[in-house]
Amino acid sequence: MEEKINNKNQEHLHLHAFCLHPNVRFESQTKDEEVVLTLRAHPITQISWITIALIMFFLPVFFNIPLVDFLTNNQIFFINFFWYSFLISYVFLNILNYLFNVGIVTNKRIVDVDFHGILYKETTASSIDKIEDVTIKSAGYIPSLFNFGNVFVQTAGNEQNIEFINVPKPTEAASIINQLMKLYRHNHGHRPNN
Amino acid sequence: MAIDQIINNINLEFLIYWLVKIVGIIGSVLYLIFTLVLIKQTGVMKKTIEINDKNILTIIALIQFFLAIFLIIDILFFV
Repeated sequence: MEEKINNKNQEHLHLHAFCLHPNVRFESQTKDEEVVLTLRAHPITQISWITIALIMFFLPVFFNIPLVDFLTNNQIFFINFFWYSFLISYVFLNILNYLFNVGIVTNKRIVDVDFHGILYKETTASSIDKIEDVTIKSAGYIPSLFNFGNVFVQTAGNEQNIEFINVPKPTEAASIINQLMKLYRHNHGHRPNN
Repeated sequence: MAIDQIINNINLEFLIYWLVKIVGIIGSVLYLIFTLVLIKQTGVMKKTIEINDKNILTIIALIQFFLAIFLIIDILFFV
């Protein structure tokens, strides 16, 4: 695993849900801070909204039939156009949620960026030396089958704990964080706060 | 006089026409506001994390804004 941290080759897995040494930058990144890992929800967890979008795509085929008796062609065109515009927005919002709800592991910090809808943003960060414990939780048939789960990062003191939900390869992610903790301790010559 | 005309013209077709018109205008204006927020928020998200998307996300957000403009024009002048 240490090889993966030291080896700077980029690795993008599961539709960019698990990226090693990605070419990304984030808002509060410092000059000497290097992104080691980015984590997003496993693509399989996006199935629910994709299914809803597919149903919404084909729904006008059915509701247009009775509308022909009541509405003019212009009115039907408008309703359908409105429907598909709404559908584009729904899909776009979900893609934004997927792309920007991201966990970032750097050589110095762990950052969790959460966007809920389009109006609520929450960023939680904790430095590597404040991390006390990393635990993973993967339960159920689907998480076991597709190898995804939750990574909980417990931090010392008043710092907020960090959670990466439904991320792929949780064991590998936890292992990378542990290795970074060891590297940090080795380089700075002290144990993390207990 | 105008009220008498309206009462005389009230039938299903008339009601449906105005229902579609009013709901359409309100819906389109709300959608326009939503797309403006979406453009702004896409910028905020891209500033938070730079993901090298070659501006595709901004272009899609702008397309939705133009769709909203088209919807308003359509409901006002063609429906």
